Amino acid sequence: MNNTKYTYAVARIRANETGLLTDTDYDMLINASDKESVIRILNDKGWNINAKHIYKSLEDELSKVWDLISESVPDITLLNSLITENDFFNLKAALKANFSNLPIDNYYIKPCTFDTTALTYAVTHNEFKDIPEHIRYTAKKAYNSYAENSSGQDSEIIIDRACLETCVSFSEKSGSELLKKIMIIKCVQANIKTAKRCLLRGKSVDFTKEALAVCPGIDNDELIETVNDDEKLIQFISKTPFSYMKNAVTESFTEFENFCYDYSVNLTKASKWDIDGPDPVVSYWIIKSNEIRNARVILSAKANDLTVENLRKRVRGINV
Amino acid sequence: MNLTMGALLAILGGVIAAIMGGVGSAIGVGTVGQAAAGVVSEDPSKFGKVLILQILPGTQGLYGFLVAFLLLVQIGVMSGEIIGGDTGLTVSQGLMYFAACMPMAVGGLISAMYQGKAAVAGVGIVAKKPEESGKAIIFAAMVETYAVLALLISILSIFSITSIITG
Repeated sequence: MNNTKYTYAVARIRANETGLLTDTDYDMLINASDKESVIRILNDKGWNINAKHIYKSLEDELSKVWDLISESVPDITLLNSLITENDFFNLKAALKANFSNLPIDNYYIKPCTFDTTALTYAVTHNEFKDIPEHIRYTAKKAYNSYAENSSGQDSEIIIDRACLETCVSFSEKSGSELLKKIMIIKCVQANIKTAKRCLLRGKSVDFTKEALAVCPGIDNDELIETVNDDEKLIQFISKTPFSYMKNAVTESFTEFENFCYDYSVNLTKASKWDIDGPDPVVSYWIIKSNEIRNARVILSAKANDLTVENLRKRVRGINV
Repeated sequence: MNLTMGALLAILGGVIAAIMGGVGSAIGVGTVGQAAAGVVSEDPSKFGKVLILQILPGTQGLYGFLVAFLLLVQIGVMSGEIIGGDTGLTVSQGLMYFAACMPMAVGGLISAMYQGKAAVAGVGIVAKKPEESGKAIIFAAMVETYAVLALLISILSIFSITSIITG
């Protein structure tokens, strides 16, 4: 009965799932006449969107979800993999702002796994001992790279790779098979995209190797060898545990990304009826993050008069 | 009072029935309690519905207590006069009583734990579709059948063994 430690959390999540957006809600949001109507519909569903600070309000919504999860699960550090990406995003933002002489604190996003004031201090003083171990070495390496090169490209590559590897490593310790699978898919997807981008930009094999994250189930050397030929790439992917991606790898980046995203969301459906364990919590986070992403897309679209048809293509709908 | 090895075995059977039923119920009720607390923290109006589900796995503890009490009465521990005449209960008679208690002990433990799981799933139904709470209660209550069958077989066995011994 080890999983019963998540019983309380799962019950709270189930109670909150009644507030998730339905297909009808998405139809109403997409067909809303303007940004104000979208805000009204979301607020009627229990959101707290301030028309003057929309993006801050959306970030706060996501933080509220993380707070709910943090309060409910026995050890939130086991699920850090869900938000570690934000730590690395903040590191990138801090480095860019620091080397551009901009105020660093304006660019941080939440939720993240540690206090951003420590990151600000670390980056401004080139002193990284007080930031968490999972990001310390990367931060130092990326800082030095940024300081040595005029562009931040190398630094970003270092951070992106470390981010993926950390997400996978944390997910392996989480006890959630679902989280592990989702993080590995994310890592494979990023590696394929990076390998293709490097090829398109004429980067060397060594550069590409350095940019790819070490990911279970996929050989990066073979990926680099096959990425320039669609047939070879399909054959290579077919041999890996990710053979379900074979028809999508040759599509455009957006289509490939959407395929991987849809596949991950389908994985969350398996935990729809679970009564305990971390998977329903992971699923709720993924669905809620997507809702907030969709809300951001819809609000931007309404502000920029995007047509309903175009908007519908950009919104990722999920049913729970 | 003639306390023989047979009497000891019979009492041990009753004690195990009470302990295992109680442990099963504690696990079941505790697990449902966690889920119920999760739902009530989000929506306190659902307290009544989830409370019924939480109570359901508690009956096995009561059944275990009942079997132990009946056994103590039947073998004469409560009256201070153990049955079996001058020699008291023999080892084989004690083992018969011990075996009679086992259906309630094992059935009680396992059914309470699984009823707890069914009730936790029921709490999930109450959380998402409170209007279907009756169905959630029925699903959890179905497990009770096997606890009741275990109780019946233990009680019938205890009474039958007593009538065999006392003639």
